[in-house]
Amino acid sequence: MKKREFLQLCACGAMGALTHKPVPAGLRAELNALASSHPVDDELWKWSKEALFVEQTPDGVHCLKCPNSCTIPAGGTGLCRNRVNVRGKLYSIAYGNPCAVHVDPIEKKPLFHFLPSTRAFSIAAAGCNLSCLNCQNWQISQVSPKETDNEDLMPRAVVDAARRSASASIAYTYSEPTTFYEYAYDTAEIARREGIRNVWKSNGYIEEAPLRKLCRVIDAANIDLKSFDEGIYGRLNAGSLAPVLRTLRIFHDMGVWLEITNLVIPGWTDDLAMIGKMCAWLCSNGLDTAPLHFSRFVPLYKLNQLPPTPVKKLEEAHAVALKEGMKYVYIGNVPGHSAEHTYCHHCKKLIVERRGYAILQNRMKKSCCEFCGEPIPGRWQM
Amino acid sequence: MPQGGDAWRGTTVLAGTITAGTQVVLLREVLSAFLGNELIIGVLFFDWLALTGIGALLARRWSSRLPLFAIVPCVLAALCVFPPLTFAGFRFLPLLVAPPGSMLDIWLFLAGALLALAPLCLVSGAIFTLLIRVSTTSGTSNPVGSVYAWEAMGSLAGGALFGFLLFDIIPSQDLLLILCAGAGLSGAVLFSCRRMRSVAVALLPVVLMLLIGRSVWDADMLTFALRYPGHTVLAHRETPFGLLTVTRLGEQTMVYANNVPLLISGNTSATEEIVHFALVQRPHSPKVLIAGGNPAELVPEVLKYTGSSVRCVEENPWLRRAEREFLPFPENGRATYVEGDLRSILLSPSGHYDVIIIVAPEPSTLQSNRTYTREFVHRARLALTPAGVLCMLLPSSAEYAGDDARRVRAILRNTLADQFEHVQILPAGHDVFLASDSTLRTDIAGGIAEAGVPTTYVNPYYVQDDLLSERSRQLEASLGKDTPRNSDARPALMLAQLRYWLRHFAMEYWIPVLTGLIIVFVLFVRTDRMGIGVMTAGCGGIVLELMVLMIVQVSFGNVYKMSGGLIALYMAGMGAGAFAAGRAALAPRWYAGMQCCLALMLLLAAWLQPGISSGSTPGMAGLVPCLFLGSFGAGAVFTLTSRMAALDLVASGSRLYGYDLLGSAVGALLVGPLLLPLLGVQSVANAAAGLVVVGTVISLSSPVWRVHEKA
Ligand code: SF4
Repeated sequence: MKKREFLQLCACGAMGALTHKPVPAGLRAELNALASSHPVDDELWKWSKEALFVEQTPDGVHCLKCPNSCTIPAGGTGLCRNRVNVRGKLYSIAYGNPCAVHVDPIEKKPLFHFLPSTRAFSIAAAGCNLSCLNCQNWQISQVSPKETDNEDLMPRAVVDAARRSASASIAYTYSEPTTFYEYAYDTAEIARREGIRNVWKSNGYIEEAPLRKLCRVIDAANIDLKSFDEGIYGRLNAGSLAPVLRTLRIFHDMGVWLEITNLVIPGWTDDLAMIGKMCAWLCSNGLDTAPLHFSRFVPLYKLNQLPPTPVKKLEEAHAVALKEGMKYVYIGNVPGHSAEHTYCHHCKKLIVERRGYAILQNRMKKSCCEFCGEPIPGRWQM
Repeated sequence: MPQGGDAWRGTTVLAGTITAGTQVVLLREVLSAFLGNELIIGVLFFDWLALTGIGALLARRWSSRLPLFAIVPCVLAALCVFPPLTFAGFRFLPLLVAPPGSMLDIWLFLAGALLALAPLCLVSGAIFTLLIRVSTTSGTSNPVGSVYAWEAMGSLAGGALFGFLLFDIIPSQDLLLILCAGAGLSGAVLFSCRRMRSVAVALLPVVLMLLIGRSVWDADMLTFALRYPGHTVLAHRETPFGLLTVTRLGEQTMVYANNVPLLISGNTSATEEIVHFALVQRPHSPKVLIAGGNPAELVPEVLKYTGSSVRCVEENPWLRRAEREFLPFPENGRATYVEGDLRSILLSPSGHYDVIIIVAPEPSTLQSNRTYTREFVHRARLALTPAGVLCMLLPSSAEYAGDDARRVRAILRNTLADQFEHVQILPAGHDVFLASDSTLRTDIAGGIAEAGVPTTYVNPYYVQDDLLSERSRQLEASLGKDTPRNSDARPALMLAQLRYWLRHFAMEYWIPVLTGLIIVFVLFVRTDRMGIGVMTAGCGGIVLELMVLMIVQVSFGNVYKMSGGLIALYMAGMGAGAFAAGRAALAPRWYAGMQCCLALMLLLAAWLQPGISSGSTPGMAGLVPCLFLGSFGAGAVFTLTSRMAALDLVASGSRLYGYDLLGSAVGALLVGPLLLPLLGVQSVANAAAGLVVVGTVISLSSPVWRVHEKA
């Protein structure tokens, strides 16, 4: 007997005994809702696909997709909740079943130097390989695809839908695309063939081999560099810093357009000395021209007792980054702030004036500053 | 020194006072550290009552080993040591296990609360048993009933002192420490009189620490600094609505209520969303009512509309005072600020608003749920002009709303749709619910442009109308129509919200429910027939108390002192019932009469609820005798049963006390967080009254009655 049936039975019995009446439909629905849970079983379904990057070990299948390095015994599930070992084979159960499908301005990712003012057809399947205390999308990242309401959208259909929505790109976003890698990769391959760009919005927690393969089909990435401290990565995100730094270097080396987001959380990641070290590392690894977005924290998920980041603190972080040598630094989640604009790193003149997702003024000519002729890094045209 | 005499009575009263005071203080801790909702409060009371009951039961085995003369001083020493220890546990354990600024995990709470409460509650249960032992030697005619009655009187005193008499004069934790120090001092004196000087000397430093500790360090400030490093505390005050702290971080000023940021300055996008999503619907000289939120930022946004006027309502006068001092709002002839209960203000005939905006906490408590109910929405509709707009908010469902988030939204949408012809949900930084009898627009940015209102965030640059409409359509399409409606008598939205909240911890609602059901089953199987009568009366009593508190809270708002008064009234009724039953004839008809009195009062309270909910004063007046008589019945049942007890008064008294508390514990766990929102007041009252009657029938079938009749 399932929990739902058990509770219903108890309620029916109790109600019947007390009132001699059947349980009303509304109450039955309420009991169903109370008892509903979605057991993650190991059965394959339409949206299962054999996983890439695995090796067999005596203890189960070893997943080589991300640094969590799960060894999954038969019937088991990976930490990301969407890879299951069925009879000795590892399957992704997030193939063609996105739970979130939206069209967003590309600036929302945020990507400021990549096809500005275009739209990105954005998809996510449930699951994530980290568990951040402040996760905005915890309802999809901390559950299995079997627990979410999903659409049936195979790779071909994603590309068609993106085209219909006049999106210039497809973004793999919201949850963690590394965990629905097979789906994202196949979709990106078709999209690329058809002239639609691919955008990877990720925590960067991925192993080298899958990442290098991915770089063949991805055009731009925005990676969350959540802090520059291993201890904070462990406590805040249940992950570690080193693999993310490696990801940044590989994206850069492989020629994928890269932007970086750093969420400044009061009391956690707002230490200016740490931010300075982070920027110094980025500069010394050739990432000084990668746009860096300092994003304002708002209370979310389990970190709901903290206030939003003071704008002053973001401005201080912005100043530190420029001082360390970062060339394009932005402040996000603060509407109307002057650090939404792009200034030429050479002549310091305002070259792209933004307001929200709109470009009010663009003083670039052929991807160069109109004033001094300096090339402005980015992928400005299709 | 007398062995029994008045010392045991005084000690019993003091025990009742201190434990009631500790409950008040711990409740505040729970509200601060755990965002106390009905489920958490239910679990806290369950733990408390169940552990105390178990303490009383366990003490039967060893209470005889303690020399009689040492019992009272030992009890006093325990009252000195354990409550402050428990307070410290509740204050500091969360800081050790929860990362700064984060919600404490429910699993940690369940384990931590049990751990922190166990010493105090087990000891206070044992104290009851020990005091029965002392009272049996004092020549009292009905020792068990007397201890029960005096303890109830102590609880009455504690509830009154901590709840309202001294509330404005002394912070509750200071008062608790003083009482504990008093108990410790009395214990030390008695120990020294009984030639146990070393114990007395050992107790004195504890007393000293309790008295001077608070003046040396401020526990509130210390814990706040640990929880929120970097903040400058501007003001800090315990109020009937909880702990209010005003801080500054960078350029931001924040007002925390129970450690949750309630008001934050410089929150431009949220402020604009709250005001303009609603006002673009009726932009021509709108007359606006705003309940809650930060007037310093909301009012200027409203005043941007030509010819607009705004009335801001805040029910918490302490919050209003903090706002005036630290987040001053604009003085303008078009803006008025009122303090008072929103529901009562909506009743006043003067109100005909074009827009009513409710900025309320999520509906996870009965208190916050009252601004989302059918009755509330009905009042709001009457206060609106025919084309007026009601605007309510829930936190953003972001990119995806899971089952539970959708259920919360569906219940609110359906509750609104019952009263208004048009309902629109706009998912943005908040999920904005708009309801009106006239059409609503989703092209917010277009509306702002038409109205010519200058904004920073709500404009075509940030809000893209086509994408907003599409998301709104997606969310609407995912919401079911077949949900219960949220009402005063059946707060279905609160239950859905609690369930959604539990999902943060990957916990299912049925776990605490199943725990409660298993305990009920075990208790029924293991209890004798007389014990079942006491247990069902204990359960019925707590259901009556919770129901009355809910009815009052939902109808009149955060009436802290009134709630304190009602709890005191309940304890007074228990005490009076216990005393009176000590003198009454020991006949089954009296026993059945008292049980029936409790059952009838349960039914009466439920019957009065609809009238009280619509503001009836006679209904409220009827609730007072109802609560008193019901608790009188519960107290009398305990004493009558204890008088039937066998020869070993200590064993039987503690056993009955244990059953009484365990019955109450199950009631506290199941009723507030689950059965009331699931079944509604009427059905819960019927079920509880039925349970009391069943318990009565079972206990009347006990052979003990026949033995007594023969005797
Ligand atoms: S992708 Fe998932 S299963 Fe694979 S290692 Fe990472 S968390 Fe584990």
